[in-house]
Amino acid sequence: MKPQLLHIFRNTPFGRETLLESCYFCRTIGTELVAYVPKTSKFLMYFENDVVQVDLDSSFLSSPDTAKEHATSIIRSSGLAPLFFDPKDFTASTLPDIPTHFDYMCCPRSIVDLSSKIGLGYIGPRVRRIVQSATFPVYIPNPVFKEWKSLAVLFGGSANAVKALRLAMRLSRLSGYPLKVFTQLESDSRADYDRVIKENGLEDAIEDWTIFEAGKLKANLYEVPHDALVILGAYGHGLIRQLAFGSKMELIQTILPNSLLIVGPHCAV
Amino acid sequence: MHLTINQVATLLNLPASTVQRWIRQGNIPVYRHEGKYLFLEKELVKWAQAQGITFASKSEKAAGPEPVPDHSLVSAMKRGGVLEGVRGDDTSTVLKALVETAPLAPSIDREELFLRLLEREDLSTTGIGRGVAIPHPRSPLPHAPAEPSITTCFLEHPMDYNAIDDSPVFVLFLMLSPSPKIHLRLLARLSYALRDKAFIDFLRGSPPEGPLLSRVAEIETNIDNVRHLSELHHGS
Amino acid sequence: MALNVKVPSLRLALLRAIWRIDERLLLIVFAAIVGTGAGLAAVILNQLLFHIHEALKPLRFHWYAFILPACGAGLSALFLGHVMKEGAGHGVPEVIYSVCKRGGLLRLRSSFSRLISSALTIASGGSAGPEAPVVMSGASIGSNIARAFSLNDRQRTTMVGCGAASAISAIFNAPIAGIIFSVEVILGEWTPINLIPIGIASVVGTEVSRLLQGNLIPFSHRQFHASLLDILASVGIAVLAGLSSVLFTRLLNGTIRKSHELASPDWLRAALGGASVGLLGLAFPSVLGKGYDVVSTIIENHYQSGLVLVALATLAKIVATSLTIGTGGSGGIFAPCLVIGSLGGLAYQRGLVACWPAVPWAEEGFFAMLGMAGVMSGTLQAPLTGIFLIVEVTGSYEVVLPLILVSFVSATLCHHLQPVSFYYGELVSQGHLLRPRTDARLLADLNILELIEKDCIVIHENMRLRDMIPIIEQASRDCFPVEDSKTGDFLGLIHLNDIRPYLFNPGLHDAVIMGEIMDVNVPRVAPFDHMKDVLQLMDETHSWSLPVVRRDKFMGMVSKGTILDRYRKELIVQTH
Repeated sequence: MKPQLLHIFRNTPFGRETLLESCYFCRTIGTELVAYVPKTSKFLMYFENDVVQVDLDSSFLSSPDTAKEHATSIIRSSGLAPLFFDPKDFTASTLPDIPTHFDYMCCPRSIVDLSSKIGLGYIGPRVRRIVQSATFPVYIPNPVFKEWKSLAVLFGGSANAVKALRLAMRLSRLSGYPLKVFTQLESDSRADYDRVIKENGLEDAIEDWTIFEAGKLKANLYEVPHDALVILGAYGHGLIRQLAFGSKMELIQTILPNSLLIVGPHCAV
Repeated sequence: MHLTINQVATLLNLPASTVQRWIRQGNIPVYRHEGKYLFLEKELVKWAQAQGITFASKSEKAAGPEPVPDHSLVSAMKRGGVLEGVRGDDTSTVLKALVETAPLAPSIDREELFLRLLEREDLSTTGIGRGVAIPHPRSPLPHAPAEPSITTCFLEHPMDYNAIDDSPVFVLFLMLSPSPKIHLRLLARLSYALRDKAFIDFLRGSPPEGPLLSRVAEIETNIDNVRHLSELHHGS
Repeated sequence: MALNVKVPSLRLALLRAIWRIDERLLLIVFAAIVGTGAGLAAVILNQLLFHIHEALKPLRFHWYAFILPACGAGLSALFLGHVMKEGAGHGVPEVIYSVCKRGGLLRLRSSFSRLISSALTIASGGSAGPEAPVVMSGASIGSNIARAFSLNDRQRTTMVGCGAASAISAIFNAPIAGIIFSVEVILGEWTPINLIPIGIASVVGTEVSRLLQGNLIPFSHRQFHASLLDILASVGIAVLAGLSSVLFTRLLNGTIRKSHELASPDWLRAALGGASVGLLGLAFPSVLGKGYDVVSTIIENHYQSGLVLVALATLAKIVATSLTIGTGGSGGIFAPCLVIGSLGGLAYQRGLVACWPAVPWAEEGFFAMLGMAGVMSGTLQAPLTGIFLIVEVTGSYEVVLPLILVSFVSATLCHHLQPVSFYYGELVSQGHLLRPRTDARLLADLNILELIEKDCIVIHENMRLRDMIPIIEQASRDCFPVEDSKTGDFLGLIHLNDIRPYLFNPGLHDAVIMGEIMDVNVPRVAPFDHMKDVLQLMDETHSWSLPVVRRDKFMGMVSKGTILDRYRKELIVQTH
């Protein structure tokens, strides 16, 4: 079966951009796009060991009469077949369940959006929880549609980073776009990373690996190409640590305006 | 002994997705270790027994289901050898001579084999026409060796074998197989070869063992190629 | 490398040892934690109710008191809908849905949201009970503790049951009723593995409540002396209770449906409902609030009103509860059931006395108690819960015989008139009531992607019959999906049976093309179809196997043979 990406459609100009992003993503790697046009302001996603309630803000429900039409025409114009998801199961009458068997899901940086948070600087707590529990990678697109022409992996050496790297290789193969790997040396040495790569049998697959030995990650991220889809693994921190120190995912997404594809701890890659 | 989800799925003869669901639902004993699920074989065997679920233990599974015998016609014919100039006036004497001279495995009781062959001929003739007969016992012999053998036997003069097309028989293939499955396989291959008129004509010349076997090998590669091609084509 | 292998096995051994001490022991420990949490939730709600009620008391005697329930219900709906953002619902059906379909996963916010919203609704005078909210909280506490410890579905469901049991036990000081409710209504299964933790949770919850609030039997009373005649008369109260339950259930469902057709925002809807209840309360003060005081008065034979007024009050309570809960107020139907039952029982007794004044009938409290059991069993369609709850909250084991009689007669009658109870109504209509080890549950667990068989040989429409012969030779199945040779779309199916007659006719080998003889009208299923529908389709079309087609592409076959095999395995592992 062809892989599928779930997109929650927002019938606003901003929603159009994210849908265009999703369409481009699907077309580039040969995935089907399944759009959900919400009719209620919230829905539940039941994961293996968590249930996440996603509360959408009112802009998702605005002008419902044109929503499906708009989505159809955007998807069509991108050369994809429009597929829509209609919820079958409801936990309560206004609370549909959205299945979690998809292969990718597109989440705007924050689903509950205050317009100030659309841009940079914030990944909503719901998005983070989806990333934590999902078995699929989460696609966090640009606020404005921009085609990407290469792939960049931020490789930190953890098990999740290896997963992200594997995913990136697959996407690079599917899209035909080149893959660059970036690593910021922190406590580990270069040899440690080499060992991780070797243990996972990935040494032949990495062709372009930039290792930052000096400088801050913040500054070094400038090297990531502007037209790259950035893929990274998210490590499951506890809530307290996250509140205290923030997460690397958060840091990276504040600095990089690129579209992100985040591989969570439960991702099956 | 630790097993992974995929191994357990094969052992239980279930898709991996079912095993994953069972883990989630708590229907199967499992341990989590560093984010991976591991099963203990011993415990799983016990569990399967208690539940009455078939569980092929790992060692059994390694052997796999009875490997599909890959017996070729050539190897069986080589084992059985080629006899030339065998004499006889009727079915019984020919068979007697054949059984006595054929290079058979020592475990085979020749007397019994002869009786069994006659018994089979009484049921219906094994003379399949075009001067060829394929005598064989109705069921595998009690002490048949594990490898099948086909003894090719050219007669001194063609004789009346009561064949289906009434033509006199000039060559006999004595087939001894350890199982009906192998018997069928060899029979199918042999009759495929015998459909070719050129091959029959070739046989009429009582060719010696070397050329005979290489000719048969040639035909067999043809069969295998056809099969292979059709598999490729239909991408099963 | 050697080290690497050894460490996990050591750790595994340790894990195994811990697990060996046993899943059950672990569940008991968790159950105690959940029981404490749910017990605390019940105590908190009780205290909230008490204090808000006390605070509002001075306002109650003014003519404008009917505004109170309106404000309470409105605020409660606002709080649930906009602060907590819960899809408002009754609560218990949501817990049952999660147990049936989602392995007991519940949202964390549910563990406290209903406590506050129902406190607002009930303490302000809304006619509802505090049980459903505590059950929801308890269940959610159980679910989230299970989630924090990564328990599996089965264990998590047990924890949800523990939470519900402990909540009911704590709020009524009735441990057995808690256990029975959890098993009978929430989980719908009774296994040694889940019963023990539920019992523990129930004990712990009750104890928490007793420690904090004292060991009180909610409706204590004198001993009743029931004669044989009274027991016979109890059949009448059973019928009456059954009918009231049916009326109650229908009115409740009707109000829910009707009120949702009013397009007003949910808080306004709830407020309007509350206001109507308040107005009703001006005439019949006994309909307001959870009404335990009413029940106590009746059981102690102190209720003053005459037959007609009592009968009207019964009806008024039914209407008030429907209005409160049906319009979106937050609360349960346990307490209203008790009030309706006791009022109904009282009316029945007054009626008996009026008709046969010479007979020494049992006291009012006796019939009130039977009425409570009857309405409870009838509305929930859970007779055991009704019996044990009434026995425990009134502390009167001596009347257990008529209680059993009334409960079962009423439950049977209700089941006949109204096949699904209020809790199950929506679940049944959507096919979500999947009790463990039932056919529906097994079929819901299996899905096509797990059953699909991919060992089919796909052929093309332009193939000649001759080309089929070598394919049939190798095929292990007797049907062959046909695809369009250009687009790869699924066109139809060829059964070996269909082509058998032509197979042995060499003249046809080149004359017949697969596209001509395939079955194009073959029914097909999609990969996410429910197994129930798939089997039904198989029955309707008398087929043993069906092609799985997704967006015109053939994926594989599902067959009855495989379904039987998996169904049996599923049944085995679920029965374990």
